[in-house]
Amino acid sequence: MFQYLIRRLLIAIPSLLGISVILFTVLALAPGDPFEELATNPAIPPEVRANLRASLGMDDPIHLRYVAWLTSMLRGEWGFSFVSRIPVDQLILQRLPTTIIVIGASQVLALAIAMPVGVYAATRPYSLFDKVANTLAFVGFSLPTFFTGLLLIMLFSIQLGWLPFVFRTDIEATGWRWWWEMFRQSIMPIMVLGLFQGAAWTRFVRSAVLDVIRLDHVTTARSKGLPESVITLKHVVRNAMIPVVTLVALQMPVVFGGAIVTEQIFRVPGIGSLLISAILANDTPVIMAVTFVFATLVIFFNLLADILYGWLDPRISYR
Amino acid sequence: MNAVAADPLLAIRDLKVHFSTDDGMVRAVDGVNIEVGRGETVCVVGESGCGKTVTAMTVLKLIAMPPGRIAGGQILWQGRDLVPLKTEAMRSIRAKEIAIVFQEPMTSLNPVYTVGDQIAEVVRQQEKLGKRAAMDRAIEMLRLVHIPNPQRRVHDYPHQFSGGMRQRVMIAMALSCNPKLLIADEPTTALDVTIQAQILDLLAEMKERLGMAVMLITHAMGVVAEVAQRVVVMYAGKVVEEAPVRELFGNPRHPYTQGLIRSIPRLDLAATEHHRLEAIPGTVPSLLNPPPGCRFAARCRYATDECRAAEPPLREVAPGHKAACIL
Repeated sequence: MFQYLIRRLLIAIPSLLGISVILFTVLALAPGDPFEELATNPAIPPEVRANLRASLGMDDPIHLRYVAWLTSMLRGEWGFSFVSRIPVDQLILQRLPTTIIVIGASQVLALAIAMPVGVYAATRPYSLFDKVANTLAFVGFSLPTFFTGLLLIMLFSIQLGWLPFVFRTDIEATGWRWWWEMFRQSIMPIMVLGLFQGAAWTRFVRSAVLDVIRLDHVTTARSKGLPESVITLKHVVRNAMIPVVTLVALQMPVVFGGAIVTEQIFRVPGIGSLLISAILANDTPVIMAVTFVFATLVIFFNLLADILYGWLDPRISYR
Repeated sequence: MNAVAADPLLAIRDLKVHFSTDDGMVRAVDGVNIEVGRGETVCVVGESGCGKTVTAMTVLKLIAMPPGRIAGGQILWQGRDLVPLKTEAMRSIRAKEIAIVFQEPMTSLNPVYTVGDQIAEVVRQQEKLGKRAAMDRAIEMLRLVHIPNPQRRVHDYPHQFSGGMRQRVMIAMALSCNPKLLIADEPTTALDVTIQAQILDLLAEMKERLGMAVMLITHAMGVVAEVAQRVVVMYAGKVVEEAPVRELFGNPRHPYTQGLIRSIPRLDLAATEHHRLEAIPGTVPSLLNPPPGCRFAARCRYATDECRAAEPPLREVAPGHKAACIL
């Protein structure tokens, strides 16, 4: 097990290097120039612009730039934003708590919906509950988040005026009032993302449970005289969790990557909106850092999913 | 000899089990009577799809309801009818009074728990033993069914056992609460021939030691000859013949039984003479729309118009020997 872990982590190094090369090259080849605005400003002579570019090493050949990026990255220097001049790691750390709270809460909500509804529906297939749950789940994951987001804003912010529709970081209140305001402005983004994800997972949980429920060992469990609740939880849900946990673990990088579209709609200042604004401003160091962090998380959670899988299913061994 | 006792352990009376399917109602079990006395071994034999397994599963009410439905009859367990019993009451019968071993040892155990946990689970449920005591019982049971190294094997998962060993685990699990009746639903069908004999020997040994009755479901006449005291032959959801084992092999009355006996492969004949193994022509009729008259008539070499007109009732042809044939 430990050896397996070490080997997987060693394999991760070349993958991360490969990913960084690709990301770096794509970004370098992409059109656009962080100093575009300076070019249209008549007050700044072209020489100044050229000097600026030279001082940032932007005219060097691409492989030199990559090596420079890599060495400073290895030293723990993530560079600083072309636009705001703030160190990139600081910028990410600023955004991360909001993202983790909002997206994390939405994933928790999604699980809290999907698990009980999916299991209950699967134990009573084609019952009224199952049909209603299935239909709602189908509707829920067919509606894109930008649409449901706008719908919720229309209803709760504009018609009813109950909830704010712009996420603010500069709430003046302190103490419990601050928490209340944070809670109020988080409800809608959490609902939009949580319900969407929950709908998709409900269907997944249902089919995973249905796959297990007709297996022979469930009949064996019944023949032992176990109560139906024990059979469902211990012999059905426990086995059905194997694919579900894997799916959820693989989904986790999203929590850190931020939900770009939803964050845009509600103006949530998370990682997703940081990435969007960085892309729009050709802010290469920020784009590079965010996407690289994202890639690392994907690799990490893949490993975690594999480990969880083996822990849940004794038939899998690590060699 | 072997006449059914006045007070049988299990008495299935006129049991009817129907399944509703998209094509209509399937009468999987259509008026079956089977009795099992205390400590007796009864074999239920017949081709695939003739209602043996459904009958067995219905005794413990393990068939899926719906689509299945007990449409009539009684299942008397020590005189008490199980048919109207609620699930709660049924649970205290399962494993403790009537235990069952299934056909597929490869899939009948839950892959994510150790075999010890799965055996201990029954004991804890039915006898309210503590964790430690239940585990000790599991080890004891594994030793009883001759699994080597039980103290160590008890912590292994089902995939670490071979098919035959898993069937031993299933038997250990079924017997762990000392049931009065063990239903074995084709326990050897999925196993190698050599392992089959071992499992049958094990069942016989367990019966000797623990004194429970056994209802063995099988389609292999060889198995029947080896273990049965009394044999019930089923065809298309009905009992067609019932007799003590010697009587059945010596004097089979129903043409279906005769066919089954003739279809036992015989090494001595095959090797010396040019002898073809006899098979019963045709297949079991659809239970969706069973033909009128005798259900075996279409495959029977002796069938007459009379056979096709009315269904022959099961009648006593000799003491303890019943057959549903007019011949």
